[in-house]
Amino acid sequence: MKHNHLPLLQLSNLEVTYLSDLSQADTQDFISVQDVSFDIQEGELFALVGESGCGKSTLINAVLRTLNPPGVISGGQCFFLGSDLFQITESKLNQLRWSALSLVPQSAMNALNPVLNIWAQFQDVLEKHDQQDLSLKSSMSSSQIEQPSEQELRTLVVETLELVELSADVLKLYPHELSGGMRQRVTIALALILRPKLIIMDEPTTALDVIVQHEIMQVVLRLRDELGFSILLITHDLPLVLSLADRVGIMQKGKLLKVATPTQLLLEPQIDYIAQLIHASKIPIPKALNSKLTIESALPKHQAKTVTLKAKNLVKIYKQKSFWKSTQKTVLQNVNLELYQGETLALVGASGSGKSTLARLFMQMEQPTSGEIYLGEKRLDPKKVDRAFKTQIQMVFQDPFGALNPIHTIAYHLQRPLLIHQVCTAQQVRAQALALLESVGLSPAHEFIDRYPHALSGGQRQRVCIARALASRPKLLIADEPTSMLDVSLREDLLLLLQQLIQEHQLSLLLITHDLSTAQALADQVAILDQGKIVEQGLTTEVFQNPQHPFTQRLVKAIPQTPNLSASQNLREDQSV
Amino acid sequence: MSYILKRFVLYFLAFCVSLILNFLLPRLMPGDPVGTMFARFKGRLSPEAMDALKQSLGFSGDSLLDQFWAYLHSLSQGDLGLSVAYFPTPVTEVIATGLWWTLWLAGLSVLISFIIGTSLGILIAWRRGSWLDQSLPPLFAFLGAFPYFWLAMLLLWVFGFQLDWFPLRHAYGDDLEPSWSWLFISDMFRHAALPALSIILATLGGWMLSMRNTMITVLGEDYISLAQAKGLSSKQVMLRYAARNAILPNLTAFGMAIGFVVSGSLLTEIVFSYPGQGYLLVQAVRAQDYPLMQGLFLTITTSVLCANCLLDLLYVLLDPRTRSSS
Amino acid sequence: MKHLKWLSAILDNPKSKYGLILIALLVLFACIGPFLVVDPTQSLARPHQAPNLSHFFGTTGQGQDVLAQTIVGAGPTLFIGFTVGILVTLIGALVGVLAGYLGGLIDELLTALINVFLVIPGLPLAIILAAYLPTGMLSMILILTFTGWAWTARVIRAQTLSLRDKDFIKSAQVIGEPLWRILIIELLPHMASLLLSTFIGTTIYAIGAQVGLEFLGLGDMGSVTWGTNLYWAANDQALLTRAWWTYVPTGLSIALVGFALALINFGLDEVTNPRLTVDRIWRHRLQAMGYTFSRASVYIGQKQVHDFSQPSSPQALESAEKGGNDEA
Repeated sequence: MKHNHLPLLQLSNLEVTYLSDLSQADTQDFISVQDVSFDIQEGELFALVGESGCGKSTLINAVLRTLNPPGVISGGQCFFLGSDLFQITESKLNQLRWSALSLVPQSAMNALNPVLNIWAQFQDVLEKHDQQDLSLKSSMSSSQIEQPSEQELRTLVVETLELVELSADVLKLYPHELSGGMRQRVTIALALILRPKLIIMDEPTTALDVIVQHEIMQVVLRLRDELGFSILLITHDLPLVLSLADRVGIMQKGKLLKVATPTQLLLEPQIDYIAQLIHASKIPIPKALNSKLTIESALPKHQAKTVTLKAKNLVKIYKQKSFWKSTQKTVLQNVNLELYQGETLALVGASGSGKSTLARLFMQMEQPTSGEIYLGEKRLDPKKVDRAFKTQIQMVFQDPFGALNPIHTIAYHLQRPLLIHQVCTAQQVRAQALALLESVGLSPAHEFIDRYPHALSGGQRQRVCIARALASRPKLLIADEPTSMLDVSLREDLLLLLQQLIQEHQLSLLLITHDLSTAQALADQVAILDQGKIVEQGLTTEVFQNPQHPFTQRLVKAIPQTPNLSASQNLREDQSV
Repeated sequence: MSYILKRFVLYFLAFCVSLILNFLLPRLMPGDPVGTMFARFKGRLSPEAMDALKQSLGFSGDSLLDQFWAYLHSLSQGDLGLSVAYFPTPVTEVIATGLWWTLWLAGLSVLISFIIGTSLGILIAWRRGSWLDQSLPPLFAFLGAFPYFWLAMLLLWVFGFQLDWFPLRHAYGDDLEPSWSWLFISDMFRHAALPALSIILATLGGWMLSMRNTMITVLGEDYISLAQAKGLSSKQVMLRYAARNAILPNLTAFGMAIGFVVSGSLLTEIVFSYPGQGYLLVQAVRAQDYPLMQGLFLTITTSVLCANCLLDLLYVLLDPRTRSSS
Repeated sequence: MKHLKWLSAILDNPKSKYGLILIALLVLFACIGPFLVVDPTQSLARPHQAPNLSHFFGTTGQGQDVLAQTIVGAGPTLFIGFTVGILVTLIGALVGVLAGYLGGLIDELLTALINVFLVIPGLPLAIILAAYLPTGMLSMILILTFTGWAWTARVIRAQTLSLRDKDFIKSAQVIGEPLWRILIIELLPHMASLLLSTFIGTTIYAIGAQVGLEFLGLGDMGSVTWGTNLYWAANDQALLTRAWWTYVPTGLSIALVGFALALINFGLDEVTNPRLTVDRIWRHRLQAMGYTFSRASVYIGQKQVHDFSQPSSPQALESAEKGGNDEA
């Protein structure tokens, strides 16, 4: 610590324990974070990467001393600006908080106090911290030494909001009146307001759309160059980190496996887990899938294709009635789609673009305002729900943890559709369920069939969901973001399974996603949905190589690119200068 | 403003429902309880009184709809019929004598109970796990399990009869005339102390516990962690961030429960012979004075609805989300 | 069976365990008690005797035995309380689940109905109902159910709304499950603990309201219940004659039942929402490790973090204490 290059933050041997209730027999203390040491230099962007549950968030809560019970810091030091954050008093800590060390929390949705307007949320932190200090930091620093007036504070806040490209108008608004992206910008501005030395960013963009994500990260990087703060970025998004960070720490199961520059990681992953992570993050076109796809599409696909699902001029308008006025919201406008047997169509769009509504229309959970849906040759009757129809379209939901009722066994979940759609007799139903499990790769099936959902991992559950969807022998499978809730390392296997099942059963797959790389990997065709309209539609390769519509172009640009080595080399050289 | 409008429509609806119930009950009850009542009153009441009673309880021979219009018409002129127990005083006049005393006693005790209970809830949620947090909820749960009026009887026996610290009955001393003098007002407080205390003791725990539980939920929200990371003082985090949000669901619960508490306070009034609505109620039950009972029901319902309106205005003031148009 | 874990957990939780034991004892007492005591309606002795050896709880203004009245009164009171609890839970669950699940116009109508019944004060309504209906146990049950169902319906509706959008319900719709199976087999089991807690809450309400009505003189004054006991005590000028024994045993019994039921609900709350207790456990553990600090140092249950890898470090303790003082 007596070197010239004193790190801004030096964490050594951090250990965090979750205390258990010892009166309960089968519980014991859980060490969530173990022996973690790293340091952050001035101006550095240090990224911590790991899958959910690896202890990233616990770690930053420990550093900020905002751990929730029953968590306690059970060892280690954290030196920041010369004092150990774990030893100083509460009041000393409160002085450091925000003025030197601030936070951009994970979900901006809940991070702002819903009953205070934005100005009030800036104001209390400005009032709390040394105001004299502030006026010096302000770019319009006046020569006054007295406390800055309210007007000056307001100017400072407006300036900071401008940095994140927000206008002063947001100050009088309340959090619920802002969009997700705006709220995230407000939290970033809030983190910047006292011009801290270090900003901790906890998954700052996960809750947002790809495009907004991209824009916000650009803003953050630009600000770092302008203002010179350090960033501790917590994320599970390895591609993003590899293209942005100065150094990366990889965490797994509460331990820090390795700290290295992106280049080092790409060149010599060394540890299996890291290699796996890097591999999974390159999912954009995995070789295995790609080769299969090209073989498939070279074959008779383009001759005599049978249409499985057709949507013609679909319109969905939601009407909201209240006592004196009724408002209309057009969710889908004139949507036309065709999906061929044995093919995959990816429906790509940001949240709120209407893609889930479209799926609900196909599933007959809602009726279209106008337009027609055909399944094969038969038109779907908008007046009544057709039972026979339900056997032919099935759906896989986004969240494997929510899609299986925790009170029923796997056997129950698989047997119900078999019985409802009279696929087999009651005697055969168990054998059928076992066969279904085997077909989705849960083998040996008898080990899984009598378990409850909670005894399975996320990936296994999603396989059960797929098996259940296949039970009624559908012609069309709708998959709503089937991998987005799974850890990266599991995604590829599941996509491969879907691909394989589609071919085996000659299914059509409608894949709903906001993730272009998944679409790229799996789909024959893509349709890009923006604000209820299909703005672009065509063969996957063509759309991605040569996007026509501006919205598609922005989407394609927002895909985090794994840097090639020379680029990241350059990045590093820039840093060392 | 659509939130507040919706609420007001609801209260109007509730008012209409209670009017209709009030109108239909004597007319549609099985077994003709009113007929038996008339039989019982024969000879006790003058013929004019019987006629007035018959009229107001629906024995005029008109169709039900005509009767309903007549009922609404007389109601709009503040006519709720004549009281049997206090014949021939109109029901409205009888009720007016006790209304202010009930509003005073119930309002005072409900407010005190809510304020203290909520503050205690904030405190024990903030210091949860402390001895205070572990001892207060069970203690008040035990107190809350007693019927209000029984607690009133116990308090009256201990502090009124045994210790002689407080007056035993009525709203003010028999030797005083109502006035704005210091003497009268302090006497009013002394008379209200025991009944109010019994209501407060019985209801405090409910507010405290619900505030504690919503506080604990709110304390797990991200904006609390952020407020702490901001370095704000713990008092600010506790009040401006946590309690400010936790009070909102508690206010809604308060609105729901206020009718229940006011009803409980009526029973307490009986124990202390407090000259409010509760005391009138027991007179009405004893004398089988149906017009008075129904009048009391309407008055109490209306006051509770009004209290709810006030609460909703407060709610809109406190929660910006109800103010936005969307 | 993970979903039934809370059932065994409420037997483990000390609060709900003792609550259950207490209520079981009281019910047992109410069942066999009447066979062990003298006739509570009979005038047996000199009125208003203080507790003595022949009458453990004394006698009433009519010379009846208070102990006998207290024990015999338990039966009808508890019976009405639990019956109303069950009825209200059934009706509330039906209305709440239908409104929440079906949505649309049905929901709007049912919600309006629920809200109207919530804001009309229950006791005054019950009073005019009781005044017009013939007296008796059935009337009492009907009145209390009629005035009490709305709260349960509201709670169940809210829970249904949050469950309706779960993917497992959508999955059941997608595979073509019929409506009744979705409601009863997929949805309702998730509300078991909520149904239990609203049942208990309603029972407490029903006992209180019943006692209140009878205390006013509305009800079957010829029967012996806890409510009529108190009515006659007040009627016989128990307060003026300072015959505290005529109302104290009954009131204590009512409170005991209410307290036992409330205890069960406390335990149920703690089991279904572990956040409510996690701090207590945490504090106990830290204290067991040799940390003595003022309660305030663990404000909002967290923020004062202790380095207890070196429990003897005076620095750490000092900082803990200081943090505490800041809060106090």
